[in-house]
Amino acid sequence: MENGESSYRRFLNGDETAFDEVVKLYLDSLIFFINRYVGDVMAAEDLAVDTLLELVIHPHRYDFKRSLKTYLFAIGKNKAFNYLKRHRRVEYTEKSDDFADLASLEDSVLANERSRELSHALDKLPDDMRICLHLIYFEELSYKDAAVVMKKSVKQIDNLLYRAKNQLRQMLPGDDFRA
Amino acid sequence: MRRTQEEICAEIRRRRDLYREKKRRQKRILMTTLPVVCLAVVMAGGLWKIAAPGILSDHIGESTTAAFDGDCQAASTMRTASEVPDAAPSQPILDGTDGKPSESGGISDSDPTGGVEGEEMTFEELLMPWDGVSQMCLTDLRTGRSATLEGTACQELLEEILYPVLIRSTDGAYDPVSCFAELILTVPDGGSLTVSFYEDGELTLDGEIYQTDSEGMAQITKLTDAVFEQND
Repeated sequence: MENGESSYRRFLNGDETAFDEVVKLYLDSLIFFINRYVGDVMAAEDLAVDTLLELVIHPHRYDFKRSLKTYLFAIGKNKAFNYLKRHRRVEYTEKSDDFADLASLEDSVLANERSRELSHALDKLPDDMRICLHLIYFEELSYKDAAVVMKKSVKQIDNLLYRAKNQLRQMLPGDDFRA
Repeated sequence: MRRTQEEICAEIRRRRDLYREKKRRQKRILMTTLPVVCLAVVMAGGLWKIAAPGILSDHIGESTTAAFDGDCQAASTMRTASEVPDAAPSQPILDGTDGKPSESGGISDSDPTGGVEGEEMTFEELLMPWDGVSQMCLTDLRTGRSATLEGTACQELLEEILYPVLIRSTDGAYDPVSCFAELILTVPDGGSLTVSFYEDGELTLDGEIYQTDSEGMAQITKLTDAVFEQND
């Protein structure tokens, strides 16, 4: 499969099937990322669909100057914030379906048990730290791209990461978190 | 249960088609109704121009009618302009596509990723949680020395020293220098706020960067000295 930018360019040039490639490439990681904010896999899935639909509804807003992933994650973050303004963050205490959904999502996004452990530890961090670590470690964005998504400066990202890693070290002794 | 990728792709295609169909329908309606609306406006303008002097003389009197005659064109123009609703400020943000308030909170030209609904938090609002700070823990990262203050002593220091420094601060730019002290404040809801002080006069309040001046730096030094002094 090609990268997201070239698939999207083909879609804009009239190849309708190319959009499915974009969806397959980013859908799971978008849901996983948005779920960090909203804490509800089903809502995260709907918001991820809305996010991808932005590429169709406003096709010329993306300028191909930065990565499509960064662009999509920035939209996803805004969608999640808007959702949270209307709903409270949901904790996983209600239905067993939620656990199953989250587990299946983790299976598709996280490579190993170690990543899963780290992912669960992130849930205990404050919002900004959790999102920052998620973007850097799980999505492997650069500090600059993470700063774009979070609408912060690179220095703030640096600072957040430093503090987040300190807290993680206390939670998961023996681990080494390097940027 | 979560949907499969194929189901989601199908949903996106369906919503994309709906959106395109809606745009086509809007365009068709616009092309049909626009000439009729234009004609109606022109006719109404003409009728108003003919009938207005008579109506005004019935209700207001001859002198006003005479004055109106000379300024009929301008008055008509002004009325037309005032009938057009003022653009954006008081209206909800539009997504620029279907004329309805955007579900996503609107997407402006300056921010292609779309904004977040509502206003950004002001600095004063950001400071509000400080009202009930119950404890402060200061660490001098150069010496490793740390001190903790609780109760009114810590409130007084915040109000007299740190608060004025932060109010004077403005947004800073990226310039990596080392952080020399860190202040962790415990707030009433049990959470904490972290203030980091940098050697170039920048300070971060829970990740947000602010820039202070030399006077502010002197105040910060005074604060650290006062915390350690009181702690001793």
